[in-house]
Amino acid sequence: MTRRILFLLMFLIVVPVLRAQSSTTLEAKGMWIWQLWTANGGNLTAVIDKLKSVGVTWVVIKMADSDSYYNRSGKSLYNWAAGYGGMDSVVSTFHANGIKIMG
Amino acid sequence: MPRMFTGAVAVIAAWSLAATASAQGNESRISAARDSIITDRTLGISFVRIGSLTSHQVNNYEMLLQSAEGTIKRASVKVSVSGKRLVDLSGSFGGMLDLDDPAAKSLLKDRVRVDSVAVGDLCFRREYWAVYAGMGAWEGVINCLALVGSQYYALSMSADLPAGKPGEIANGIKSNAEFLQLRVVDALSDSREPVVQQFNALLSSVRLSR
Repeated sequence: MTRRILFLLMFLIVVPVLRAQSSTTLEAKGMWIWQLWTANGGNLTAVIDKLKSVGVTWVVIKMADSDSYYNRSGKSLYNWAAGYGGMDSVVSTFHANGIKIMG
Repeated sequence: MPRMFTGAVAVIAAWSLAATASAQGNESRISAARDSIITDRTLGISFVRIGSLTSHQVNNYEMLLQSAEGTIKRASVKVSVSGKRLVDLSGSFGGMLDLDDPAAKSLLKDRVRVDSVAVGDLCFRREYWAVYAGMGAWEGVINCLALVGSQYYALSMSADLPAGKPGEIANGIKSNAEFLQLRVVDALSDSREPVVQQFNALLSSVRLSR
């Protein structure tokens, strides 16, 4: 009897948690940016202004392809971001403008 | 100053530095006749300017091509001189790929077609690349390489093509990666494409002066 009650309690706790996890979704408007360094002529301010004007609140930035990571010396993204103080600074600029970043 | 403007300030500063460097050292070795022919005496090369010149560094020039017509709406072209065999795979590899680097091995499957083209006394090896970049986007590249002495003269055109996702069913037909790769290469080979016409004009204009 005790085991049945324990099993029932486990069921009542675990199932809602699993359901909550499986129903997690990205909300609001967002988009994928393939080559951030060429978007809007490579002008970060113009990119952010455009995203804000159409209500985009999150972006996924392509940061790598297979084992080739883009934020490394010599890569196009790295070279472009260097003009803005590096990729960390670029991410901070997005955040400061209310846009979440995934990559 | 609000943080969002720091990037723009950095760009202006970088532009100013480049302009200063150009005025101090580079101006004498580069001449642009009415902006149509670019002649670089240090690199020993001249070629017709196509599209807009977006960047110039010591050993390369980058131009942006745009067309409202055709399948290819936008492409960038790099003209470079280097001791390495390079291909511009910015949209997939993330930058210039050295074909002799071990990292290139896994990408060689995306070099779909190879032929050669003669320009005056030069013989360019022309490679057609089609690399899947995700989300249905493909990077199509025409890479032309000519070895002169110990230097590779490279003209590389990289175009973004929304050819589709491998495995996706469209009009009842499942597209595999090989089919989509050929679709990308067909677009790059189509001489009616305005962007391809401009690239061919650039290629046929190349002259070496050493």
